[in-house]
Amino acid sequence: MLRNVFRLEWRNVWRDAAARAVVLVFALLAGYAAFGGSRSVSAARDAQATAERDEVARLNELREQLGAIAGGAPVKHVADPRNALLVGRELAPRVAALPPGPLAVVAVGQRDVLPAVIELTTKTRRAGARHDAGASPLEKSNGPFDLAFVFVFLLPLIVIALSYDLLSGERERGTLSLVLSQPITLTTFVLGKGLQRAALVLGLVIVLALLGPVSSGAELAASGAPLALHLLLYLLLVALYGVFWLALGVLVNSRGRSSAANALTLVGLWLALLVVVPGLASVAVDTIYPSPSRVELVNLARAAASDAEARTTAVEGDHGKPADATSAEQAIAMQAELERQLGPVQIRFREQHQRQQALVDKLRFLSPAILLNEGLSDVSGSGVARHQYFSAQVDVFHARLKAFFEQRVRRGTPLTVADYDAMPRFVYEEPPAKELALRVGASLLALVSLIAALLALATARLRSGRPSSGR
Amino acid sequence: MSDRTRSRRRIHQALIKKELREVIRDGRFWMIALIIAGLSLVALSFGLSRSHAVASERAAAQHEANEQWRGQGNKNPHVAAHYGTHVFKPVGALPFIDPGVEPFVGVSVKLEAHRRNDSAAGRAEDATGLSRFGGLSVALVLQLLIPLLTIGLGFSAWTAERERGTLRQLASLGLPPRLLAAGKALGIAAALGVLLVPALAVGGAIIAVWPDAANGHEHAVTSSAARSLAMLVAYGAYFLVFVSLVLAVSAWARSSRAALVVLLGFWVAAALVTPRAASDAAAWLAPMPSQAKTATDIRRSIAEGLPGVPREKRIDEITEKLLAEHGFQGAELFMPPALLASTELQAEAAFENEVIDHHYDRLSEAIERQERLSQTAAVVSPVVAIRSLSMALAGTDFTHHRLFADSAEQHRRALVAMLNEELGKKGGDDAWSYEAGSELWERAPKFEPTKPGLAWVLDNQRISVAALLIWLIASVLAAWWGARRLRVV
Repeated sequence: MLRNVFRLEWRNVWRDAAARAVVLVFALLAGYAAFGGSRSVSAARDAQATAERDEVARLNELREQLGAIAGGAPVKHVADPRNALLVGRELAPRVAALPPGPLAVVAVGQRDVLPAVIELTTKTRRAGARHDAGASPLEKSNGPFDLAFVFVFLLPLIVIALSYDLLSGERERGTLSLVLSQPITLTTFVLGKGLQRAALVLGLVIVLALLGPVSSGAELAASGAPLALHLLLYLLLVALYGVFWLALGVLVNSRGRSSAANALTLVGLWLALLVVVPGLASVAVDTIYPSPSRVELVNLARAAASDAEARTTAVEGDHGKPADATSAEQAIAMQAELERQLGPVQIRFREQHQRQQALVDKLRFLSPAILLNEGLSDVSGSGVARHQYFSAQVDVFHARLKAFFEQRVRRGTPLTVADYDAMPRFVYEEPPAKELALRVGASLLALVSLIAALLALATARLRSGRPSSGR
Repeated sequence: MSDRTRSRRRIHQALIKKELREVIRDGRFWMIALIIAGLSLVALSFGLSRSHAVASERAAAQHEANEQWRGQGNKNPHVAAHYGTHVFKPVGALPFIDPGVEPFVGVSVKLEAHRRNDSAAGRAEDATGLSRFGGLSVALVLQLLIPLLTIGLGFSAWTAERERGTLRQLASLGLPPRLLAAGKALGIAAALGVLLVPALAVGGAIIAVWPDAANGHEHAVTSSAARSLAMLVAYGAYFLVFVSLVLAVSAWARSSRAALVVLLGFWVAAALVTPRAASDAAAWLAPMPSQAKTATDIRRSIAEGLPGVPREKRIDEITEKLLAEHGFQGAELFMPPALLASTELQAEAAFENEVIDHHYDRLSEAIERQERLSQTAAVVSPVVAIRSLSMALAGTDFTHHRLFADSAEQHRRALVAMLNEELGKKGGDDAWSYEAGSELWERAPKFEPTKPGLAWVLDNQRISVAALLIWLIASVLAAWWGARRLRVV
């Protein structure tokens, strides 16, 4: 009997022009999002490659100059490739890049606001100039049109469109009494219809979810993370999220109200879970753990650097003043003093960000939409967590870089080709897969239990037989 | 007043009362209204405390930066130009209503000789993944939730009458359809008013006391009264578009259910999909040069000169012109050394400014092309129109940001020019060992950010204003036409 219902439903949905249109539009939007995703990921990769190429070119140029000077060429004192102090803080900025994650094509996440290329000198650590167009402020404030948006925001609406009249529609058309006159229980009937919708939603979601990875196949191969695990978690997240909304649809239908009332209730729930809860959660995060002020930091950094800058203008010499030979030790001391003053501020920023993320990790259980959004950021490697991981590695690298040059400055001898060869290079390491599996695993578990609870409630309601045929 | 008009008016009032009563007796309305009111309250108080904090923070930072500038000690004026200063962006007129693109752009610019710096110290990097849900603001409530509430209130305005069989009665009254439609529209509007008028009163009170709340921050954009009024009109028109659309669809639809599905579909397309798709597609179709490319181009042009005019040649030309102004053309040798040094610095700065202008003009063109393109999407979605208009009126759109950046650049040029000139006047025989003190730093020009008026805003928003008007006319006509051709059974 269940099989009959299932087959009948396939035919019904297939013949429904509106359902076909809804599915088609959704597929087109997902296709556009996948296309946009692969475009932005390859742009990001090209941009990083350019930044890294520029870095190599800069170093090679310095090496050539080194050779030329050895061959007797005149030395420009403001660009002396033998001067360890100058090379470390100005002439050879090093690049640390965070490659787009294995499934970056799926979610832009925080990729458009967090710097993926960081430029380091012994004096500064700052976001490198972007080599791709990046997102305009308007794009950032509207939000990206990526697969994550399509799944988090639009998929529930598609599922609602396919399920809001699951039972109420039968009643309103008068076909429910007809069906129930057959040897079939209400629960089996709804189960059959629900399973058909589930098959439809799952098929659709999995095909569309794979559009992204498929459209950027070449990019996938390049990344070092365990792709199979990422893909598996990604598909599970999206599939369970779809099933959650379907279960919600079944539950709402089990109350026996009209189709219009069901649609309004489901849209209300959508609003609550996608707009209200995340909005309030973000207000909570900003209120409980407000970020330290970047505006205050501007003046703070300046006040701290003011002394150092005033004394080092001569060293940097914009207008051809000769660098002071005795200033090397002094410059190192000043740099250390600067870090002593600003270090705690930077730590305050970092710690607050970690607290914020920890709170988000807890608050995500308030809404399946946040679960999915965070989960997609994690599996795509576009989230805050992976960036924090990257940032910590950059700090370690920065310390190495500073130690390298400090040692050479103290040594007091000119830099040689051997020194250039020994210069530290940044190599990014992916976070352990176990961490990802645990984080996303918890989300999946939450979704599964939520679905089970919704279905148990719906079954209990249907068994009680209230919404039989009449009003 | 004739009896006829009087009785008409009475019928009209009765109609509105009936519609309003229907809505108000509906428990769902109160539940939704309560939720929306609660959200607005949270959004308003959060927005307000955020903008208050931001305003006083920036005022304090500007004060601090000015102090640092004044207290920089004795140094050569051109070295001071290198030392530079920071300016901070004034807070928009109504940022607590619509934060716009503000969270995603920088708020302070470092001003120094020889270069135009990008604005920095924005908050975007401090956001968590939750920011992807768009945050909670009054604008969000007004742009997305009120239309949804309107749909919930009115989708069955006509269809339910038909389904209940009361439409026949209503039609038998012999009233013109536009009167019936107006009655229904006013009924929905009155229900929205129950929610919006108290919110408006609170908002208005806040705007009235805002200049004080800004903590004497002298840079706060003025003309907020005119802007608030314009915003009121814009949102009024926007709500009217939705009320009319809802009535039109309800009149045309076969059943309540069909009306609801069509309206919700429209809301999803207009409010969720189009704004994102529009800015995404605009970035793809009208791409902007990368930040790195612009920076490299400027650096190269400053080193080599603009295409066709080598650097040295152009600087010589400008120097000649400046020398002529000082009356020393062809007679540099007789010029006081400091004046010559100053003239050379001025010429170099003028050349650099030409290069910067050249590249920034191209950048602006690219930005405007992209913005126009994404604004054009307002033709298919009134939400795009009101979003753009709302952030422009709040002073938090990208155009306002660029205006700030441009006025900071003008200030930088004035500051550098003044310092270089001072070097020429006071430098005597040895320009580079001359040192000025706090007296000069005090005299330096003060940063006066441009305060754009309403006319400027509306001029920038031509496309949005026009689109909103078209939507208004079309939707009212559709509602009227729908009421006229209404089938009774």
